[in-house]
Amino acid sequence: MRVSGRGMLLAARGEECERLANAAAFIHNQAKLIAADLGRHGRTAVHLKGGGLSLLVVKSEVNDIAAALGSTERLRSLLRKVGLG
Amino acid sequence: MRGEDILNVLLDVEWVVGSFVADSAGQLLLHQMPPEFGEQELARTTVRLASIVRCAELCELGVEQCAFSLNRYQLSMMRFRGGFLCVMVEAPVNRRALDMATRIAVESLPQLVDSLHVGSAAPDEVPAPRTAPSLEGEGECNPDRPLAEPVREAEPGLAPIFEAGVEQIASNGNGAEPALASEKDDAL
Repeated sequence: MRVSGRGMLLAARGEECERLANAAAFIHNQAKLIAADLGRHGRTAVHLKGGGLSLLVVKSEVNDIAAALGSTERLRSLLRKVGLG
Repeated sequence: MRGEDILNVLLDVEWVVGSFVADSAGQLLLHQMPPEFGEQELARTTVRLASIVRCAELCELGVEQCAFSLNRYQLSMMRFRGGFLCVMVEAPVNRRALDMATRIAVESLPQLVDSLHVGSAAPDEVPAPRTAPSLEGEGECNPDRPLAEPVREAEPGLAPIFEAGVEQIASNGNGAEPALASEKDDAL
């Protein structure tokens, strides 16, 4: 799922996309603030994991937010690519 | 085991910058971070982390761990009964050693958090966060590590820890989504 910086849903697949888009936008914003407070500005990626499921939220180079929710195993290669695997 | 001792287990792992502990509500309880990280900033961070966990729970994801990639740094959060532990590391950290140190710390933290809450006078009273004294004096926490260094630009061999994935996702800017779709994730 991809959502613009202003919250517009750009691309989506799967169930509960609206809710996932809301969560991704919120998490991305919080992650940006955390990075700023910790003096680590730049592109952030967030990986939340629990019960065999993972939610990955990444800021892309075209300034939108990409998120993926699924089993941790299925997201493994993507997590590795963003340095969180 | 004292809070300081618990967090020292983590600090002994090479490339660990520091760590801090909060209760489930996100109230900062204990920290052992270099002086460049202010207490106010850490307190705000733990509140935000708690809100991220709550957000994920509203999406029916019971969060056990959370990791942030912040350039060459990573902030890892692990939940335990009554709170969560955050560890900030630099990219070259030995993951296996860090995992074991984190497990040791997390094993002892619930009891410590309980004791901190028992010690507070009133349930709503906010105790001042405790700073592990060993980091207050400069040079006491492994002088070989560049704890107070500013964020550095990418260095050879360490640089883009998540560049590839971002590029792949960025290539979707035209509306297609091959990179994520290829993962066959459950919801995109």
